[in-house]
Amino acid sequence: MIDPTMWQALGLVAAIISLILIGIIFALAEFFNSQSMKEVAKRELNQTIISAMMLFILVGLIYMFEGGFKSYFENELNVPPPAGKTWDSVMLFEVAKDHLEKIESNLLVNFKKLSELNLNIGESSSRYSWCQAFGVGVTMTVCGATNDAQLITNPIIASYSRSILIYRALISLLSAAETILALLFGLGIFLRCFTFSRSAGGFLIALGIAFYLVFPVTVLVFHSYYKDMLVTTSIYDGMSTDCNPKGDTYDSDLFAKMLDSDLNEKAAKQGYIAGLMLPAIWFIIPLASIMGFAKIFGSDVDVGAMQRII
Amino acid sequence: MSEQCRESSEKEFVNCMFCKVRLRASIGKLDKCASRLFVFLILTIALANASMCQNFLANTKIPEFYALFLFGFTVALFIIAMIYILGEAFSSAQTKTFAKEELFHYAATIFISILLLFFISLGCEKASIIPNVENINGPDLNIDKDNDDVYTAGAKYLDFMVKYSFRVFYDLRAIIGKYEIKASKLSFTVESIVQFIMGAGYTTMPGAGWHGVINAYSMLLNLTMVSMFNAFGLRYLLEFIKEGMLFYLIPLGIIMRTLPGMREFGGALIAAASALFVLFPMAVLLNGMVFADISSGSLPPHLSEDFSESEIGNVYTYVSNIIIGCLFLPAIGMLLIAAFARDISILIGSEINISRLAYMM
Repeated sequence: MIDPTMWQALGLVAAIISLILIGIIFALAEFFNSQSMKEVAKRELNQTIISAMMLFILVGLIYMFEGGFKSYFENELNVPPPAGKTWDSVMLFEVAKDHLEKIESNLLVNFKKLSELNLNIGESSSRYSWCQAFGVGVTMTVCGATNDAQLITNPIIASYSRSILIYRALISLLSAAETILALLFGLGIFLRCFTFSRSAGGFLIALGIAFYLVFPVTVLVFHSYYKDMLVTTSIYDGMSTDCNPKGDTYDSDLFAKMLDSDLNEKAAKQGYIAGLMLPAIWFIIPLASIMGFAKIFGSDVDVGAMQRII
Repeated sequence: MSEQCRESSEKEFVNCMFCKVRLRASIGKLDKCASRLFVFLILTIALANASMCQNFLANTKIPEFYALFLFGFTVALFIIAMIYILGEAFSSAQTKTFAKEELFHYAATIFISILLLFFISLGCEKASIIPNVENINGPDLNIDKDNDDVYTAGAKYLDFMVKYSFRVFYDLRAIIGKYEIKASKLSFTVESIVQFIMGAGYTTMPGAGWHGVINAYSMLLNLTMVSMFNAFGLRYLLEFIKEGMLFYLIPLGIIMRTLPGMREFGGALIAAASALFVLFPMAVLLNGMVFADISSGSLPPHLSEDFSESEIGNVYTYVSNIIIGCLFLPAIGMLLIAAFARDISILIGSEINISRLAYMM
């Protein structure tokens, strides 16, 4: 594991180096009697003091905000902590990670069920009956209409697959939240101490806060939208693809269930709300917060412009 | 001096003033020349420092930059001395002030040079300069923090990323291939001897439904391929930055910065190249720390031939890891480098406009 104290010590060393450099600048300014250079030295001193303060105060503030949010989620939004744990014993990112894992597991179960169903549909709909004698005969697709069900299942399978991938990525980022904070925060303070890397330092601090605090908070704020998905339920259970060659396939059990409004509501909630909309929001809000925090910490990185390059 | 001119006749006055203006113009030119030489000096010092990294740049002719540095240093001092002597000769307080200002800039330049020297030297430091770099290690990734420089360590990590993504790409391709075979299978069935005699029966494609899953996995394969190419790209970019920045782009930036009208571009080039040279390997290693935390520094196990149901979740984990390691984290690294380049460019006297650059690209 990354040792956060090591990175914080690095930040402290940077502050000391920065102070020595400022001292040299001030001495040079005295020697050349340059007022403008003295102004630069004073401005740099202010910035170094701010950076040093960040090292101690900002860490405290982050933990204070974390405590406040935990209390809010526990008492106001009734967000459940991970099984077997209490809110006091977990960090925000751990709760968010637990929720995302549960949603992802739910999506995976339904992805597998739907894949099985799709396999049965494929087998059933591909059935060709043939009859021939003396070189002539007929073939017919007796259950061809069942194939239309794949028009519904295939896009949903693709949607589930995409959503599972997004969730896995978000979970991985939350797994590394502590490492990311220790790295970005320590390095950010280090770089912010020097005038030539102030923007980069401010950007890293903003990135650390966005990952560690804003991201899990954004996830948990939407708890009421995804709480149904925290319990794994297979919505594609009990669907039969039996083909009745003599009857009208559109009256089959499969289509009746496929077009059922309750199922479609659940599928839309899983596939579009939890699967696509929420991850998009969870990604956009921390990204926007990076720009805001970066400005506060002395950086004006044009994230939008960089996205265009990337 | 102008008082002396006023005391002379009208014709002499014009000649005297003309001489004075010409002298000032000449001194101004010398001043600009000296300023440019200072910039030249900053970068020659920085480049000269690279010669300290003997292992890193063993086969290059970088020590020659020492001579260049001394040359720049001497010429700049000589010009300042000349300006001062001229100021004394013509009893011009303004010229002397010029010389003093130049001397001030000279001192400031040396100060900035020391900082730049420090930056450039970071590019050839051992990996141990980054705290906790040992965390990047794992069963399939061995960075020797005491012997590998930051570029070698970065290359090892990127090689690991390429291997990681290639293994997942290879296994996914094999699984999709198997599904394609299953999906294309055609089964002929005759249910009774009567049907057999009558030539009747039916055919089915038992795996036709695999196409939905194949489409989903094809998306994963595409993403893995894009990420793998990005990892390849980063690996070769690292090689290019190692020598290309120091020996081509920074010198080109220096030349550009000394040419009239190209100063801004030259400064931006120097800043971008310096930022890339110093920060790119660092950013790669920092990404490595995050990625090692996610992947434990080991390649994913090969997926079984049957590709059991329990492995489906693992495939998504591996692909999401690849996307984070090869696309997301490098993008953040690039943002960091852009922020750093911008600050450096301001220090050098120009400004990199990321928005404009983005539009241009």
